[in-house]
Amino acid sequence: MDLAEKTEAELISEYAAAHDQNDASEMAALQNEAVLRLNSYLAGELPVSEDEAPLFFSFIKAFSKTENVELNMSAKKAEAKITPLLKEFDKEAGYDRLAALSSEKIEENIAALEDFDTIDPFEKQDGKLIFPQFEEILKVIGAVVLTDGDQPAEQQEQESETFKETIVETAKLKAYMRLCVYTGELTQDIYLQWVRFEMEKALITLFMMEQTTELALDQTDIEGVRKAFDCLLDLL
Amino acid sequence: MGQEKNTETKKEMQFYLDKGTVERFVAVTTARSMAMKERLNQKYEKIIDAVPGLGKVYHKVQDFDKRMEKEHGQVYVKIRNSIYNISRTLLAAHMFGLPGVVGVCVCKTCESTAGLLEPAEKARQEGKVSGIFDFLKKNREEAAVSTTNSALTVASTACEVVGAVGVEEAVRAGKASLLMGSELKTLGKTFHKWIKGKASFKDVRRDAVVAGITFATYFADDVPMTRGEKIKPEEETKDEKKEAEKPVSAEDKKTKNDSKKKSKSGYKQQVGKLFAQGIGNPSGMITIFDVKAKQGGR
Repeated sequence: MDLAEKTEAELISEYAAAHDQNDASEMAALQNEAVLRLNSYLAGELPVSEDEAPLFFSFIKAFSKTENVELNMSAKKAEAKITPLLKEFDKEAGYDRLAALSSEKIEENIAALEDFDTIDPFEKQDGKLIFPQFEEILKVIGAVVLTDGDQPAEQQEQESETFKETIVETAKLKAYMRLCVYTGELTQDIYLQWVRFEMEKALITLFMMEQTTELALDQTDIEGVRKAFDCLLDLL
Repeated sequence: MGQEKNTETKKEMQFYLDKGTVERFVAVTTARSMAMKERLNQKYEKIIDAVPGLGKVYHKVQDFDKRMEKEHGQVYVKIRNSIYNISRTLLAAHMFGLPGVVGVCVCKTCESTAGLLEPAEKARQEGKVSGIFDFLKKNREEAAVSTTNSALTVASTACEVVGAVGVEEAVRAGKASLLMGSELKTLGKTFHKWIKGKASFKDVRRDAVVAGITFATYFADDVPMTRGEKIKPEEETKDEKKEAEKPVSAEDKKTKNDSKKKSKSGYKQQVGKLFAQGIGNPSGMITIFDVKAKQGGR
């Protein structure tokens, strides 16, 4: 594969490997690619959005201390340019107040999260949900029919179970990434609030993704999108 | 997705969801989580040994990634690895295909706090609603309009990325993750008026174009503004560059900024083409590029 087609993560990894093997020619080739890419970024030709900023910043740092003077200069300028995007990312991720957080607090949060992670939000006791706030979510998940192209997916029951697990796991991961830097007292209640929020968000996002794709493929129209939305709300 | 199925005794709601949509959603989640993990490492790199718990964060993301790979297979892996290329090259977009482009754009829009779910999140934080579903139930009409607006806008712009024939008001391709709330809100208001018969569809299309143009400035110059056409960028002349370096008064600065905007590479030509097509310029188009450049001090 041409170096130009590789992602920044791949280039970082290859550079580290070339460095370990003392492969001077490979390192030079990677450095040249890094120069091109950083200059392209500086010229505004390589768009890097806020959610890509951390990985791109890692790329900048990986190539910022070499013997290539031009590369070092470009890396320095790129770092200055990406800083505002990193600040935006931090704000979105809730990582903008980490200075106030001690390492002990982070350890405390992570220990609590490891414990909360074992909770099954859909666990039942005597046929009823232990956590009733997840009732509507379960209803919506139960109404989903997974398809493979135009056909219902085979082994629908297994697919549905996998889908349910996916919704739970993605929500738990997002809650974890957010709450590991929580500044207040991290309780089970707060954890479940976040998991619920992320699960509801996931279902709405999936609904939107599906409707928008159908719209783009001319398989529905605006009235159809509205009708589907009404159906979703009628379920709640 | 979303239909009623009558059974003998009661109606059952069903929602059809393509497995590919789920895979794309999970891939975006993983990519975002990897970015967050990376950021934490960067912030704590000097004291990482003092915070061994952060190692668990790393393993958390890695374990999730492995489980998703096991559950969703190589399609998930391919999407996850390509996700950062989607906004960079048309080649990546073509590889993804239209559903992929649309799906990822919508997902990123919903993830952004400035996006579709912002009002719901704000209301939740203020304690006005218990969650997103609660918000949607209590604000049904407005939420429905926002949903359809977003679907229309993203579908339109994504169609152009892969050169697909989409809805009529399809505009220039762009990254939906850069959708500014204000553009969507403007489009939303016009759309709402149109639904009530107080605005023409031409107004809706005009605002869709404005939203589309904001995406356009992020693209490499060889991405066509209109279907099938290539527009070369206008380069700044040496005189223009020298002029830019001179110290200026606030008033002159405003005049200079206005003229600089007008001569921005490719933009003037692109706007001119739209005017020629009869699509008006409501109040002077200010792009996301300008807003973000100003915010970033660039």
